[in-house]
Amino acid sequence: MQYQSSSFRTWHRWLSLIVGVQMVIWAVSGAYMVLVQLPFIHGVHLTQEADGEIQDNSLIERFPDIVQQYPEAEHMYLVNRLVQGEFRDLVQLETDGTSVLVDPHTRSQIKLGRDDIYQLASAYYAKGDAHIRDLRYLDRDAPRELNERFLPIWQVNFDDVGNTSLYLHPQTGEMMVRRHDFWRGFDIMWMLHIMDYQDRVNITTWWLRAFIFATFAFVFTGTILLVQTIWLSRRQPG
Amino acid sequence: MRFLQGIHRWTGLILLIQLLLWTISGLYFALVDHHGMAGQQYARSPQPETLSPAQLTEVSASWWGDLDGVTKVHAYAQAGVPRVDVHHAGGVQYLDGRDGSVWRTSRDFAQQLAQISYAGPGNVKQTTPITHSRELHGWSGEGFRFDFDDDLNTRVYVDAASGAVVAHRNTPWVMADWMFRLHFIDYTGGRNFNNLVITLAALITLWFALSGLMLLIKLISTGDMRFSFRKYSVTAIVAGQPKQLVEPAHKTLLQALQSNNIVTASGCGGGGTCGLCQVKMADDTPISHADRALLPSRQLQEGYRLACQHKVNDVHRIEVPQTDARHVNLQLKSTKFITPMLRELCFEVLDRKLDYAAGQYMLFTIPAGAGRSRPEDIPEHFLSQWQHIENTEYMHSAVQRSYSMATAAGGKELVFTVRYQPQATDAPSPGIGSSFLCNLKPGEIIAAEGPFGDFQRQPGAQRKLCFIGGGAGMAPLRALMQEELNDTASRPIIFFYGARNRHELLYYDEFMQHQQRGELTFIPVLSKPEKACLWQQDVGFVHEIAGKWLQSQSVDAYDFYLCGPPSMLSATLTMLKEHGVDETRIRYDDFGS
Repeated sequence: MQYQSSSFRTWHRWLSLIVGVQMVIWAVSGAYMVLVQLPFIHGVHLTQEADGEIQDNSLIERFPDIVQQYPEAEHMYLVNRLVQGEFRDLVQLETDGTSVLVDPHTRSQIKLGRDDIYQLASAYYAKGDAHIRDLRYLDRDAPRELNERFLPIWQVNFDDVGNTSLYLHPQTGEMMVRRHDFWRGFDIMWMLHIMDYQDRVNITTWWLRAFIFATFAFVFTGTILLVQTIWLSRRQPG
Repeated sequence: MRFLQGIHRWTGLILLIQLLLWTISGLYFALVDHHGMAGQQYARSPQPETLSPAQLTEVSASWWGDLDGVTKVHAYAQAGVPRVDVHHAGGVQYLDGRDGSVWRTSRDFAQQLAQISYAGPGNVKQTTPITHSRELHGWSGEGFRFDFDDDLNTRVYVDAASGAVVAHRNTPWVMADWMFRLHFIDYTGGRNFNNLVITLAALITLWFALSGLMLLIKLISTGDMRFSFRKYSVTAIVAGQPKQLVEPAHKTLLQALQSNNIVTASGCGGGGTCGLCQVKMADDTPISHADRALLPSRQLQEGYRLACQHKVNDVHRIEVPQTDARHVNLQLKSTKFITPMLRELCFEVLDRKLDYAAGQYMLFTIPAGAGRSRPEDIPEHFLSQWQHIENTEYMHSAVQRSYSMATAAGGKELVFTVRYQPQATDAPSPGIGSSFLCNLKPGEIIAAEGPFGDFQRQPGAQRKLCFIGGGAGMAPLRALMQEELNDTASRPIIFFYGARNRHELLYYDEFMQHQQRGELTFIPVLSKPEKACLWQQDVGFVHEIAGKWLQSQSVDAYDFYLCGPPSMLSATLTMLKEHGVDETRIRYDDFGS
């Protein structure tokens, strides 16, 4: 009984030095993404609906008047939103990706202030009492966790276990993005998993491909060794 | 190390297929990219449509008078048709903005929506009303599927209740969907990577990868990953002929032997787990964990090591054993007590005949299982020595034990003498190997391998042979003497044999007969004779009696062959040294450790 397997073992060992370490990274990052439930990562538990019930349904009949004043409008919503400390029936208009809030009675635009954002963010927050650490109006330089296309936006940071951040639309006060440390962890794991350390989106880098090809060789040599050791080897007790 | 290797192997075995599937699907993702997988190749967003006051004049709150908890009313235009969606406590009510009736998407309008969302070169070739689809996980209700006659077999799904274009699907999407199924181990199509199966797989993979990492770290720290272009030379003695092996320093002896086409047994390919690649080297070569785990201490002392565990630059000279050692199945033919604590076992070798030299031994594989402290067939006249040994049962793991053949080769059978090892005060059980063999019944089969060992006769026609043995050390000495007496020109033999009392004098009658026939001189010695022994001959320790005799002899005339318990062996070696016996003239078999 003689197997020229030493070369497979040598290959397997040397491949492990290069691919093996990445495989550990894949296993660890994969395990994180698998073990932590995705809705939790998305922070579904962090927020709740903050709009109220519409008080005056008949406001819908003012839609034609409002459109006359804002002829560009593509979408028109009647909502009940917490503005200036009270829930008010308002109209939200959307045109080509921009939104504004309009008072249906006066047809004038409503500007949300820092206090409005503070109150809305507290209303969205679903993990008990909201302890807001700070509010920031971001108009350029999006943080890593936020896509640039959301700018400008309000960033509301909470003083809680996961360092929750909610991102609120500056014109409408809608909650656009949720982030917390488990999401940030997931993002790092994702980065490690796809090996794009720059933007964390590119899954087609040449080095990722190269590592995957090397992994085939690694799995192949490992399989040969497995067959030899488990099926062909003398099982000898110590 | 072996524990880690075990984890690494068995988790690897469990994961083998999935690792391959992960790699394949991962490669697919890395080659195809997001854009190739989403089914959106021929999709486009509809042109924005502005609202017109005319469209909205009909809108009335009376339309949704019976809906509770309205939180949002959404007015928009879709392909020129005014639409109103009312979000309420119970969901979303889709209304026709022209008259407030509940929205119904007609087949024609749905097709219009599908075409608006489509930017490809094809045309609708088929329309199918559907209530669910395997391609739309989690969607059910009423809707339409529009098949386009393009190169990607695009189909567009439209939900009838809302008039929303649910999804574009095409052939690359189906391919990608299968890759997601493989990667997420979710064959429902839901692409849920938090499911139970993948969770389990992820945990096993974690074990697998981390055990691999720890093995790698160990390999690096023990210097097994060294790489060198510097070559070293090792002399390998193969079949008595020296051979020069010149190999890089980082290679193991096994690799060096194999690349020089020197047949070396290996079952695990250098993993240090099969124990087959034994070679002999200087007996002070450091012993690796694998050496210790796989080789009996008797072989370790003789200088045997595993070739896969030692590097080319660690040794200068190795002997590749020309062993005829092989695996055999032995069937027990007869078994009997020949002293109160010692049995003689005769085995028949199944399959082929087994050749061996007198003095060699076999390795028995004792399988794991339950053991018993007392055999059932203790003869009545030996019962008194057994009365203090309780009948207990115990579990034991698989072990290997070596026993020397007690006869010279040539007969049909292999004969062993097995000394029963009662439970020592601090031991968890009686001797596992001896109890197992003592309880073996005729007809039963046990696996063994061999023969091993170089406790063999030395050549030289003028030499006289002095055997000094004690207790169970009788076996190889008896075989050696039989072999000597079988030679046509057998040389003079003197045999000192020590035991505690007359009961324990093995094969006494047989050796007395040899002596009467003038074939050898037999000097039995008892260390603790009892009255019942009626002993008239030598009393004391066997090495003392032999030492006394040696004073009147010319020591250079003799070759010495020793075998017995460790204390007797070391005392005898000291005695021979004091008498100035040359070391090369002494051969001994240390079975005690």
